[in-house]
Parts: sequence; structure tokens; C-alpha cells
Amino acid sequence: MPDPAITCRGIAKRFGPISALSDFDLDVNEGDFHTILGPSGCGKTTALRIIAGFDQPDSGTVRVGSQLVAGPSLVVPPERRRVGMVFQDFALFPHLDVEANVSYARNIRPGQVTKLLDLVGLSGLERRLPHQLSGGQQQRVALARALAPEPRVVLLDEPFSNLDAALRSRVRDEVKEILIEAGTTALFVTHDQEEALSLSDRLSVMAEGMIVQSDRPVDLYRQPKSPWVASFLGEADFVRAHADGGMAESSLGRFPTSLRGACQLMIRPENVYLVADSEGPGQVISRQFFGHDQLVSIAMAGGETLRARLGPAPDFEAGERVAVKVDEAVVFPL
Amino acid sequence: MSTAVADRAVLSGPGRRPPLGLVAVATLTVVPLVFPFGFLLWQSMAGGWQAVLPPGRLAELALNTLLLTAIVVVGAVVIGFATAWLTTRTALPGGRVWSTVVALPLVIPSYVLALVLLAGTGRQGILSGVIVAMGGSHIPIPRGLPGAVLALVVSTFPYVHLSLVPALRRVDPALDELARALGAGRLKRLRTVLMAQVGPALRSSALLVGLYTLADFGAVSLLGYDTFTRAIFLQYAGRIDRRPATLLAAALVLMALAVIGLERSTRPPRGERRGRVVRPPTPHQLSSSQRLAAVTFLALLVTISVGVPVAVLGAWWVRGTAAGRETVAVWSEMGRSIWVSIGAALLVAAIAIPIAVLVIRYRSRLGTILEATAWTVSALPHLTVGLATLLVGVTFALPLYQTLPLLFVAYVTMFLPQALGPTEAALREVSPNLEEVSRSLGQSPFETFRRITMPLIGKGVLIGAGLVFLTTMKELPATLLLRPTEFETLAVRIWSTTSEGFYTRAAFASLVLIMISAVPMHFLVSRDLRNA
Repeated sequence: MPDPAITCRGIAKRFGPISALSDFDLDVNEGDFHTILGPSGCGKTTALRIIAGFDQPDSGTVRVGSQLVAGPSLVVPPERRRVGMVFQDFALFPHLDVEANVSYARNIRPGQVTKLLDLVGLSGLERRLPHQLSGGQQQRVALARALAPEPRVVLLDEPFSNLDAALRSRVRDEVKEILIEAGTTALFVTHDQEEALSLSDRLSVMAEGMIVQSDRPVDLYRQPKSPWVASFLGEADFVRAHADGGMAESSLGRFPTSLRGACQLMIRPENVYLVADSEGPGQVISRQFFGHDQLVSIAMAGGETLRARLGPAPDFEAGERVAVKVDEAVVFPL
Repeated sequence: MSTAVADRAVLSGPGRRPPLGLVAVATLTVVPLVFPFGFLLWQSMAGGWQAVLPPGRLAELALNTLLLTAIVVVGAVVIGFATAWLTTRTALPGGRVWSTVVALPLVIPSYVLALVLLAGTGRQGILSGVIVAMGGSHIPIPRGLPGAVLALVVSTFPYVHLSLVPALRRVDPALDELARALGAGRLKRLRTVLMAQVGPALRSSALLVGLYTLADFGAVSLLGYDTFTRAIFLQYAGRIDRRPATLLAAALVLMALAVIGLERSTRPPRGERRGRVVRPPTPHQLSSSQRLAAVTFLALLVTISVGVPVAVLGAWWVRGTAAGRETVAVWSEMGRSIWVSIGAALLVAAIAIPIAVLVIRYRSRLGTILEATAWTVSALPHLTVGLATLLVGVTFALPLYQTLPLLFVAYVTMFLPQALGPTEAALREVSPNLEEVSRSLGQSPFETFRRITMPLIGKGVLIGAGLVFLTTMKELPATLLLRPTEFETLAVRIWSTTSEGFYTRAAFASLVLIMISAVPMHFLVSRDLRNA
């Protein structure tokens, strides 16, 4: 078992009549790049703020490493948690230059600031004020500043959403590299699925104030625990099936399951293959062409619709009949 | 991004508790400002008031005060609306400069205007001299109502001007065009379209002028118009029994509270005032004769309200010096005025900070109550602030009677909102994320305040302090009642020499006062108009 960097147990938090978190559990492993992914308003920012110490939970406990930082009758103030923070708006101190921003923290080891400025590639810009920097540079200053006091964990609240799309993927990679280089555990909050899947070592999906599933991105995508998680993480279509004797039977084939009785199959478009066949059970409804791939919608004989993500080559037309093959599906109870 | 916004909206609502120390400090600074008024009202209740003060006398004072207030409000609103309209909605030569110049009378306190009237008219008056030289007869001294009206209209119309200029600039031309397209006539458009948009600012500034007039002490007392403030001071100064003065002051406080309440209730909700105009209104094209008339009006107004007063004061000074009279011995008064004002500015600015933090950072209900309280007591007549503070001092803290600390309590009472406004505005501009990041970097709340918050709100605090400095320099009635014996400021000196008829000395002191307050006033007024 790797050492835990953050452990949250049973956290609840209300703001007046609104419940932001309820029964929130989270385990972040030392050294991981861990992401909390959830739709708008699910409470992810609140969770981050409670871990940072900006807000207090109504109940439950938070540990950073092995230290209890929030619990019944105990609250460690943010300045004594050694938890770094990178805000969406970067929150650079506007009246301080780059060097003063990065060296702002208490207890920085000598040489650390130079090393970090070097690491984030801002050497030579020490005397610039924040408003004289580009968005990407501001982002890196914020990161260097958070890393300077060598925190046990860095929290990042939607750090890429203020950058324009062209810049975003580059900055994303840079940030990940810097964090790996610094060897710091990172907990990152986003509502962008692609960002979450591509960056994280571990991913926690959050809905309505609680974590619904935590796993490696691949496992989450391929083995979601609920239809909701499946749809939230990517494109998913659902087809009725009947399970018996360890197998779920449907018009699209047989898939292993431990369920019995009526159930449904979750099928992702990239696991669907189409072959032109005038006797086939499916009929092409429409096609969206993207260049490197295409998304073809099909109506099945049973009335269900299914999407297939295919390479650009097969040239299907609306109304054409097709044979359908599915090589992977997840079985959920109905 | 929407997530963060939604979460923030939840977070900044009620539920985040401010630290106890902050609450305690803010509360402890505001309570002493309200207590004196409570005590004043309570004291006035004790014992039958009819025995102390005949109801007929009370009615007479109320009538005089209301008459003056009504006339001044009408005069100031008419002139202020005219200047605001001319400087914002027409293309005048000189453009926006007029807008600033018209506000200049703000540097002349009402008691100095009273001095100008007294020193300019009558047999020895400078203006009389000019008229006589041109073959006329001397101007009679406008004592009583006419003089008070003149002095107060001149000193209040700039307030109307300053509050209407932004309102007029925000008027959306699209609405007027729409009304015209629908066939509304000029008068109907003026009534429905313009008034709907400017009406709230107009009403609120009219009530502020009313409040100012109710509260004025300097002009009415020097010109001998019998209002509440004059009667209160005469009762206070002339008698050992303080009850008549207390009673009159209580009545005046209640009247002022009524006007304040009326002003609050007619004030437009905050969101409405923030309307954004897509394009500026097209200025009205004036014919050349209209333009000439407009410029003449503005020039004449500025001449009467600023030029003539300064000229009269200057002439008295020159004449007195020529006659070998001692005229310039006001340096020690000036020094006192300046350091007392700096002291008040620093004190008030410092006290405003915790309250601003409570209101802006924690959206604390207590903070809002403290803030509203500070605004209310500051709007009460300064003479009653002085009297109430004095009453409390004499009753509960006799050693403080006639000492500077008691005077500073009164200054805080009167001027706290002036520092509160800019401080809150500055704090609103500082993202709470900055403070949180600082905490997460290991800095204590105090270090965070010292290194992040304070440097970022410094300018706002300074502007607030500047405003307090300015108004403390001019403050008369409370200083008059609370100052230590022999402690004469410029304002007190001007008032006492004027009431004794030593116009030459008063004139020079007034010129110095105008000069000192002109500098920060210019800065602040041009900022106000720019921000509009």
C-alpha cells in the first residue's frame, strides 16, 4: 500500500439550506497526480477548500499525511497545513514581482527560488510584475510559488480553464511535467473529462457532494460502476439485455455478467463495428464526419439507437442497412 | 468555470464566521458613536419638557427651520439640475471643465459665506463700496432668512450637481429615441423618460440638501436666523441648565432621522444604479444665442459663488493690512487645524478598516448593521453630535471633558463613512483568493493583512483619510463645543472673529482655510467626476 497523502472521511458541509458535501470520502496516494472530476456545482471546489483549510467541515475528518488537520474540535489553520494552492485565476500578488511572488512563503530553503524559477522556465523574468506576463507564464509563477515551501500536497482548482484553448494543452503538459519533476503529490479539480482522463494517475468522479468512484482513468472508463459514471466520462449508449447463467444475452451478442434477469448493456461507440449488409439488423440514421474519424448513428431492429465511431474510410449513407458487431460492453442492472 | 462561480456564490453567503477579535473591535468602535444619541434622547425625555421649553417656541423654531430648508432645497435643486444638465447634455465651449469648476464652491464653508455676506454689505461693505462708487446706494446687510438662503444655496447646489452629473451621463439615449418614435412630445418625454432615469438621484440629492440645511450651524448663527441649531447653541452657551439645549437637540435629531429615513426609502436599489450605457447620449445642439446664455449663466454662477467671496475676503485683508491692523496672526490656529485634521484622518481611516473587512470579506450581518449605524449617525447635525458627546463626557467621563480624546470621538462619529466608502471599494477589488493563497503559503492572518491586503487597499484608505482631513478642517459646531479651552482652530477662529465683528482677521483666516482645502478637494472632485 502506498502512503496516503490526503485522507478524507465522512465530510459533510452545508451552506445555509444548501448541502455542498455529504459523506465525502477521498484517498489520495503519495506522489500521485489525482483528479476530482465532476459536473458544475457538485461540490469539488468546496472539497478542495476544506482540504486547504479555507473552510471547515461540519463533520468528518481530514488528514494530510498522517496529521489530522480537521476533525471534531480540531482545526489546523491553512498556514500550518503545508498544503499548496493554485487557483483558477492564479491569484498572483499584483504588487509583487515574479521573484517576490515565488519567494513569498515562510520557510523556503536557500536556493529553492532560483531552482524553481529554473524548473518552470521563468529565469530572467524575476523582475516582471504579474500583469506583464502571459497567461501561461502566470500559471507557472503560481505553480512555482505553491511549490516553493515544499508542500506535502498541491491543490489545483480548475487551473487551466482561464487559458485559451490553443494554450491549454501545452500548459497542461508543462504543469504535469513540473509536478513530476518536483515529485509533489497533486490534487486537481476539473469538470473537463478529457483533461481528467489524460492527466491523472488516479481519478475520482464526484456527483452531488460525494465521490462515486475512484480508479485509474482506464479502469474508470472501461469499468464504470454506474450508468451515470459511464455517460459522464464519455459517449455511451444503452441496450436492453437479459442475463442468465453468467451471460447477458442481446441482439448484439453475449457478454459475461453475474447479474440475473433484465439488464442493460453500456456500449461505447469505439467498440462498435459496422459492415454494409443489405440483410443487416441495423439502419444508418445519420453520420457526422470529423476527418480523422466519423460518428455513425444506427437504429437497431429493436428500436434502440447505437453510435459507432469509425475510421474515415467506410462511406455509409443514411438509410443503408448494416451488420453490427460489438466487442466490449458493460452490463448494468436495469 | 461556472462551477467556481457557483461555489463562490455559495461560499460568500452567510455561514463563514468572522473572527471574534474582528467583531469585537468593530463593535467597540461603533457603539460609542451611537450611545451619546441614545443618552441625549433619554435625557430629553426625563422630566416634563413643557416646563423647560414652551411649545410655542418649539413650533416657531420648527417653522423657521422648515421654511429655510424648503427654500434652500428648491433653490439648490434648480441650480444644481441646470448646471448638471448644461455640462453633461449640451456641447458647451470648455466642455467638461465646467463640470469641475461648478463644484468649486464646495471649498467654501457656509460660515465663510456668511462672513462674506456680512463683510461685503452694509456701510463698510466691499460690495456696497463698489455699488456706491458706481452711483448706487449701499446694500443692506442680508441678516435673517435672505442671507441664510443665499449662503446655503451656494454651499449646497454643488452636491446636487455632483450627484446628477453621473445620473445624467448614464441616461440611455435609446429610451428617449424610442419614446420619440412612439410619438411622445418633448414635455412628456421629459416627464416619463428623463425623470424615470434621473428621478432617484434628484430625490436623494434634494433630501441630502435638506439634511445639510437642517444641520447648518455656521451660516444661520452668524446671520442671525432663528433655527434649531442657533437656538441650541444660544441655550447651551447662555445657561447653566443644559436641559433646554438638550431638548432642542433631541427634537432636531428626530427631524434629521425622519429626513434620513425618507432618503433611504427613496434610494434606488443598488443594482439599478449600475446600469451601463452602450453609447453616450448625443449632446443637444444649442443655438449660438442659447450657448451664450448658458455660458453666461455658468460664469455668473461661478463668479457669485466663488469669485465674489474670494474677492471680498481678499479686499478686507488688503484694506486691513493697509490700515496697519494685525491680520495674519493665524499661523498657530492653522497649525492646530492641520494636525488635528491629520490626527482625525488617521484615526478614522484606521477604524474604518475592520468594519470594511467585516462587511466585504464576511458579508456579516453585524457588519452591515454597524455600517448603516455609522452612516446614520454621521448624517446627524454636527452640533447635536457635539452636544450629545459632551453630555456623555460630562456625565460619565468628566476627566475627558474639554480634552482632545472627546473631540476625536465626535470626529469619528461624523466622518467614519467618508473613510469607510473608499476603503470598502478598495477591498472589494482585492480577490479573497490572494489572502487565501498567502495563508496556504504559511503566513499568518496578520502577516497576510500586512503584506497583501494593506498594500492593495492602501490607496483607498488614503483617499478616505484625505476626505476626512478635508471635512475636519472645515468642521465648526462640534469643535466649538468640545475643544479644550483656548484650543482655537481656523474654523473656530473664523467663527468667533466674525461674530465679534473683526472681519479683517476672519477674512485672512478664511483665505487660508480655502487655500488648504482647495488642494485635496480638487483632487477628490475630479476623481468623482471621472469615475462617473
